[in-house]
Amino acid sequence: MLEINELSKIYPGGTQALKAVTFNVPKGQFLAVIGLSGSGKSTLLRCINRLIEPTKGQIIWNGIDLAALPENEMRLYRRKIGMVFQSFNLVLRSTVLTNVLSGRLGYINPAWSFLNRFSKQDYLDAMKQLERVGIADKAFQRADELSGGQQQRVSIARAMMQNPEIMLADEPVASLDPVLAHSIMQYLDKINKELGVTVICSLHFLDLVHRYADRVIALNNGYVVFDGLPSEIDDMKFKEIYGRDAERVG
Amino acid sequence: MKKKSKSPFLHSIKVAFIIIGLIILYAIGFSVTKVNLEETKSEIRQKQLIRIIRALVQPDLFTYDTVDTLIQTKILAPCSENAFTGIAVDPTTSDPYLTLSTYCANPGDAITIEGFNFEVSEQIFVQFIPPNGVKLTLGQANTDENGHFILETKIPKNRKSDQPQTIQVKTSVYAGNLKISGTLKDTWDKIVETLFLALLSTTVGCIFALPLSFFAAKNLMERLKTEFISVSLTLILFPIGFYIGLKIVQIIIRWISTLTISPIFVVIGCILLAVIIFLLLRQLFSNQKIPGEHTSNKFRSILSKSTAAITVVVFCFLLSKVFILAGDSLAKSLGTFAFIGEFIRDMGEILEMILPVGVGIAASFIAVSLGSKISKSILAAPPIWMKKIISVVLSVAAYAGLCLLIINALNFLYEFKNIREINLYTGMIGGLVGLMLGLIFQPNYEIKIGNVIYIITRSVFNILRSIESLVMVIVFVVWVGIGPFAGSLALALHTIAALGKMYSEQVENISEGPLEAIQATGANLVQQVVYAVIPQIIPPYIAFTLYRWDQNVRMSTIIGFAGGGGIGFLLQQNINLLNYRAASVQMIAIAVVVSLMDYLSGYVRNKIV
Repeated sequence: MLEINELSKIYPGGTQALKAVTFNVPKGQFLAVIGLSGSGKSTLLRCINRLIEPTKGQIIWNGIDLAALPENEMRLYRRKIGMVFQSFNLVLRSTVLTNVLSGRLGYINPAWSFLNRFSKQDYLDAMKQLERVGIADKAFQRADELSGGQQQRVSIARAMMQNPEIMLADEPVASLDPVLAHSIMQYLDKINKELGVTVICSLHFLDLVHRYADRVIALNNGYVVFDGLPSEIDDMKFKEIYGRDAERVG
Repeated sequence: MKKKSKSPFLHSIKVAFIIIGLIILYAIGFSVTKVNLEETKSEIRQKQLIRIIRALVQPDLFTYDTVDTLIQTKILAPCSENAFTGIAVDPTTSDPYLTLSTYCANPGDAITIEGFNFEVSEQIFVQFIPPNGVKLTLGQANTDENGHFILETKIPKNRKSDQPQTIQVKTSVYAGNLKISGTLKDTWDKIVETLFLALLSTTVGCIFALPLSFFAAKNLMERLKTEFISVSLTLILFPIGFYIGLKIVQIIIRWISTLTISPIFVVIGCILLAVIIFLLLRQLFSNQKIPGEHTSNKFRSILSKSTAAITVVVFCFLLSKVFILAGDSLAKSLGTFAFIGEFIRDMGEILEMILPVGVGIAASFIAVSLGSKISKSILAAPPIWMKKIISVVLSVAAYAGLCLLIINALNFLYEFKNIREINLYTGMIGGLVGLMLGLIFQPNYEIKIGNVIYIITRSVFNILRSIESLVMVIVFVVWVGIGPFAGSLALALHTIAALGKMYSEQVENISEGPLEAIQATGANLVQQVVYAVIPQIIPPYIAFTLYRWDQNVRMSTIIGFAGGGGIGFLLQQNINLLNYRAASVQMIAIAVVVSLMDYLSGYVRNKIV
């Protein structure tokens, strides 16, 4: 169970990205976060694993307030929270395998990791994760030789190496074409359904939301404006979330 | 959103003011830099300029073997009773010969020298040779299209003799093949020296700039935050750790030195220790522990770690000895390749020199990490008032200690007379500052210590960078004497600062995405650097290092002017001797090398990036 209480974020420039956001995520849920660009989706996701420091509020996970932890302890909790990004964020000049293995960094002795040494078990796990996303044959290629869809799969494999209990996905398919988008979403769905990993995923396309999400919250200008089932989003709700002039596509 | 300007009139007045301001600015610039167009029109200056340019475009690259012929005639100066009618010449000959208007003249008298049958359109130097053989140039003339010249000159004073004296013209005739001039050979030697000077200084600069550059990267350092109490502990423990590390090394070295061991034992010991260290490391890191989980036996872990550390120190010391011994014996046996032996010996000596400092720094880092553990346990202890008291006491001690360290460093430079009193006062001032800070900040207040480190590192880089290596070399020449070694040290120091800054800017320019992603996996800051930053900065680092080498080649052409060795030394000498044709060779060599370096580095950059 993940509880977000009155979470606020004010950027140094004065922009208030989140305004007292409150919601709960039960374990094993597939939660979609929707909203316009700039509505605070990315900020929200990054506040959960504290890549961005929240200004106020609580993030209570298994009874511990993540927002209050000092950085070096937060690091230990971050290991259990995987994350995939819109721009994949692979280290392009490293091999696919190294990228996947870097998911283990939080668990291993730092001294060895400086020498790029991982245990045999980690190598086996990394190959297994690559097989799961179907690109085991690319393991020794440089990440920049891969297409966008392949890169996102590597990124999922990397996050899965953390053995996560929560998976944060920040618009994971926004840079991909519709066919690839579905295949990536299916991987996330599989992780959610088969392994019971809680998925919090920000999305742009409502058809993806309808198809994959158990529940939706919508942000507008830093406020939660909707919290419910995907099927509850009718035209009225849609206008509330996206503004009066918005039109549905797809 | 910009506001629209209030009215076009105001706007044009603003523009007019800016234009007037600019005109004044450049007018001041002209007067300050003493722009003098009259000087450029002066005929003498133009003549000199043309002479130099002509010399510069005729570099002394190749020479012919020349056969010199001397055409002589005799004159009696001053006139005496010995009737001397000169040397008879046959006017029908085709060989060059000289005639004089008179064959007897007093010193200071005018005389006309005529030459026939010389090379056409050639510059001729006429020399006067008294019996003591000290040559004196009477003047120069150019032959016409018939090989004829006339020179009007005076008999030199103070060259009196009762014997006839010689007037001579030396002509050189090219013979044999074109060959490389001596200047070119010297230039080649020096350009090789220059290249290696630049290579060494770039390498050393790169080695030091690499780790330092991370401390000057804002995007990394602003993440580094530490609790107030931990900062105090660091300030206390860092110097103590350094001191202890230094002492340990000294004790170990003294202890080994008393053993007076034979060379064979040194080598065997070195190999044995290497094996032991390898096994120890495997033992230490074999079970990949999860950070944050405590090991069962802490005491044993600490004991084995410190044993390993001491073994490493002994090993390094023995290794330096092995290098020195091996280098010495190689230097003796290798003959012409003795320099390889000397290099190995130097490496050993460098290792021996840096060992105490390195161990000191390592020890202080260990002390600091111990400090962060201590501060964590202090912060975990429940009563708040106790935390506050401990924090205040620590900060008083820390800042008093810091001030004392600074004042004693200054004492080394300024040699204060009443150091005891000064120590007392600075200690008190530091203590007061510490007290105030301790009262203001809560023990767990997160101080952005990274920003402090960033500002200090950047400032040091900027100060070092602003002092040109040409100036630095003066200090190094005092230390290690004139020559390329002083030059490479000066360039290396400047390179550290310049590369450090350029590297750190590359770190600041990396794409944040991968860093964010690695951070999200729970990696610590150093792991984030190793996995997300370093792969991104390798290509620009290589590019900048090559660029800096190229720049150092250019700099080392100048550094010779101040005694730093390299081709600049030769260039300066030739310019001072007004030997512009030789100087031209050196300039061409510099241009060739610099452009070759440019192509080479461009090629390597393309291959790597």
